[in-house]
Order: sequence, then structure tokens, then C-alpha cells
Amino acid sequence: MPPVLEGKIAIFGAAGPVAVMAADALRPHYTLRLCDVQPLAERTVEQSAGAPLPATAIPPHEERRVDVTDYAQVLEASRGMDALVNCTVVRPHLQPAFLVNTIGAYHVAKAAVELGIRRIIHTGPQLVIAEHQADYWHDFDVHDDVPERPGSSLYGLSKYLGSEVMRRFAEVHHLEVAAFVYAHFRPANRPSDADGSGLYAFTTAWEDTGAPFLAALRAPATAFEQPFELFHIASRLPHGKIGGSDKAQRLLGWAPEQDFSRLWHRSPIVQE
Amino acid sequence: MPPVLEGNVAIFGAGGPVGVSAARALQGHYTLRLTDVRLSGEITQPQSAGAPLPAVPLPPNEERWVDVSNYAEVLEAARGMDALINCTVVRPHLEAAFLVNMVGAYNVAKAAVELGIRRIIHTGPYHLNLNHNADYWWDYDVPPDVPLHPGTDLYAASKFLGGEITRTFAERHGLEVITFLYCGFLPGDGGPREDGSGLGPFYTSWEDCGEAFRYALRAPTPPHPYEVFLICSDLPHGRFSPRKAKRLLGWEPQHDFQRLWKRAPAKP
Repeated sequence: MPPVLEGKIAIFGAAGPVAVMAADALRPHYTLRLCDVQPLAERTVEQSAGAPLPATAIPPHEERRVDVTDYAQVLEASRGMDALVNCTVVRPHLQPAFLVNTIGAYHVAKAAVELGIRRIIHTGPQLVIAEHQADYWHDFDVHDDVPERPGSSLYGLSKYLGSEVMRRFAEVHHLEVAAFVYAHFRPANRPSDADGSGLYAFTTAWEDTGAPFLAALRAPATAFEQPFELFHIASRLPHGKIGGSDKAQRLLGWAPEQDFSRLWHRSPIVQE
Repeated sequence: MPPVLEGNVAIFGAGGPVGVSAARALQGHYTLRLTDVRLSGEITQPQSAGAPLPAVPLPPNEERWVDVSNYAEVLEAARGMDALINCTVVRPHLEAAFLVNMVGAYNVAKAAVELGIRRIIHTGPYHLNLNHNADYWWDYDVPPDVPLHPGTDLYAASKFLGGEITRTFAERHGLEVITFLYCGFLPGDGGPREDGSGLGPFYTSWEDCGEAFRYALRAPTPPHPYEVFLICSDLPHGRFSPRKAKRLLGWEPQHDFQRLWKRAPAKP
């Protein structure tokens, strides 16, 4: 299919911080339908220090209450859209985690097929560092396409299954699904972070979070060498473990701009 | 650097079946220096049924006795070459495995740097089913760039370390190393196996194996100094794919062993 250069985009889970950054990046170029089970105005507490909060939709953009676990609602929210973005997530609660992370993904993919929408951006957590023997914690140069290792965490497993559902729909129905996965987020230059205090090997700047969505919508069909393309959305850090594959740059033309160098450069020794 | 479209190429471990396949594909296009610790006439038994055996090279190609674990010999064999191919391997013997698989790789990379040779084709095994938690036996769509987890197997661990040495040389000295990984081999027609008898998820025909070397020499500069490729047929297991080799080298396997994995017609 041709790239989605203009038109209408529905974002599911629009109150969450990843979706907020996606909406900021897409708002000047598309008409957005911001969907969440919670009114955007009710989200007033940051998910973590410096995480973005949603803004009320101003026309022509619109806000809509949608429970992603209800197929009829997802279908109606997807009607008339040119692409779908799925940022929904529930982490700690057993039944809602599977309902949102797995079945929600199924609903988004199914609605896309029913309505002839071919491009989806799916999101989720990284599944390469999960504190068990078969993960990639001890590895370097971990490529985006390595087999995922969700371990036994509820969050990891339920999102992993949602991702597999997306992959199957993409393969069977010839969708173009870009899946973005993340680990840690932080502002690119938070004043409270001390110089040289270090950071996690798989970290993304909030400021870098929105642009990949625009790049994925505008990418040509040739960017989807496989119907389901997964990307580690991370800064290039000197740990050399994650984010160095250049896959997102090669296929989507996106590369992170923030490298947190202030945090991983040794701080100068203070003379007493 | 520009692709190596002609010139001199040394193959280390030329007596082994991968080295033989490479030589068959490259002769006529390059002048070959075939090096091994066993000369062609000494190798009379195929490694497995249908595996190719070395032939005495015809001029201008030449054969040379070289122990890859001896740096002076490797350096002299590499002198005047435009590219180096390392197909050396020892599997079962502790000291020899490390000397050939690891120190040999070091010697080849070091000679390349000393002589200003930038393109190396390195080879090694893709080990599966090593009976530890972190291998990829249960996985599908395993990419070439997955971290190798050799476990404690002597062959796998020593070749893994040789690969890491070669990678480090490539990154430090700006080499263009193309690494080919293999698992099982068969003749392109499936050899003596019966129709429908099946095969493992990672197989390469001897014929395809050789052609890949020609594509690797002729390919433009790869994106990374050390680029790994799975040299395998596109099999219906869906676990390993030659896709990256097609994308970056232009190489595609010609054999898919369909006779082996298609259900055999029921006998009346």
C-alpha cells in the first residue's frame, strides 16, 4: 500500500504517555481520533517523573471513549480511519492485562481487516531482558528481530501474545504492521539527573518517542520487508546492547536524536 | 572498498567440503591459492554422503600446504591476495580446535590487516539443539544477527570465539568481513535420501554453498564491518531464512529440497 501521508488516524490508549508523544508528532499532519477508556482530562498524574500528560483534543481532532476490549467500540472508532495506532496497556491485573494487551490487539487487527485498513502501529514492552536464563541480558548487539523472550511476567506475556496476534493478522491479511517496543523512558535532559549518573542499557527519550510514529505512517511499502516489522525504539547508548541495529533507520528513516551523553560521560572530579 | 571482481583469492581449509565448494564456484573468476594441512590427493573420503572432494588445481590456480595455526605460514599464503576465505575447522580435539578455530581466525584477520587486505569471508557453524535454555531450538524466524549462544560444546565455543576475534578485527581495522553460518549440508538433489523423508530446519546444498562465496566477493560494502549471513535453503519450517543474504549480497539458494519435505505419494 502507499504511505499514509495524510488522512485520519485513530490512537487507542491515547491517555498514556507514549500515545501522547505520538499524538504530538502526528497532530500537524493528520486528523486524530484519540481513544481511551479514560477521559484524557482525568489523566493528571505522570506515569513517571517527566512523563508527558495528554492534552484535550481540539477540532478537527476528536476524543472518544473506547474500551479496547469491546470489539464493537473498536470497530466504530476505526471506521473512516487510514491507519490505527495501538498504545493500550494494562500491567498489573490478571484479567484486564489479557483483555487489553492480548484481546485488545486482536480487536484492533480484526477491525483493520474488516474495514480495509492496512497500516497499524502496534506498541509494547521490550521482551529481550526479562531476568531469566534465556533472555539477552548478557548479550551485545541485540537485534530487533531476535526471538522474543517474555519470561513469565504477566505484562510481558500478555503483550507478547498480543504482538503474536498482530503478527498473524499481518501475515494472513497482508497488513503492514510496525511494532515499537520500549523499556525505560526518561526526559532527554532532566535537571534532577546528575552528570555521570548512568542509565539503563535500553532507554528512550520522551522527546524521541513521537517521531517514529510519523516515520512509520510515511514509510513506503518496501519498508515492510515482512508484514510485521518490530523495532527497538531506543537511544544509541555506549553499552552496545540495544538500539545499534539501525533497523529503524534503514526501513523507516528514523534515528534517535537523544543520546543522554551527559549521563554516561564520567563527571569531572570535584576538587575539595 | 570496491567489490572484489577479479584477482587473487586464498582459501584456508581448502580441503574441506565448504572450501571445495567455494573453489568450484570461484575458479575461472579468480586465481585461487588453495591452502590446507592436507593436500588434495590425501583427501579421498567425503565428509558425508555426497560431500564434495578436492581436486588438484589447474594453473594459474595453485595449492599450498599451510597450517592456519602458524602465523608466518598464513601471512605468506595471504601475500598478494585480494581477499581471504577462512574455511578451516577442527571439531573434536581440544587443543587443535582452539588452535585452528580461534587462533587460526586470529591469524587470518591479522594477516589481512598486515597486508592491507580488507575483504574476508569467514565461515562457521550455526549450532542448534545444544540442550541449554538459551539456544534457539524452539524459535521461529530466527534472524542472522541473533546473538550466538554456543553453550559449552567444544566445536561451537571455539568457532564462536574465532568469530568474535574476527568481528573485533573488522571493527577495529575497518575490514569487510562477511561471515557465513551453516548447519546441515546435502547435495542439491537430496542425495540418497528417500522422497518425503524430511530434513532439519537449517540445510544448504553443496552447490548453493559455493555460489554464495562468489556473491560475497562481488557484493558492495556491507553496512557493518562484520556481517553475518545464514547460508541456508528457504525451507518450510520457517525457522531460518536466507533473506539477508539476498538483500545484501544478491545471493539466493537454488535448491529447496522439495522432494524431501513434500509428502511422498501413498504406495498402492
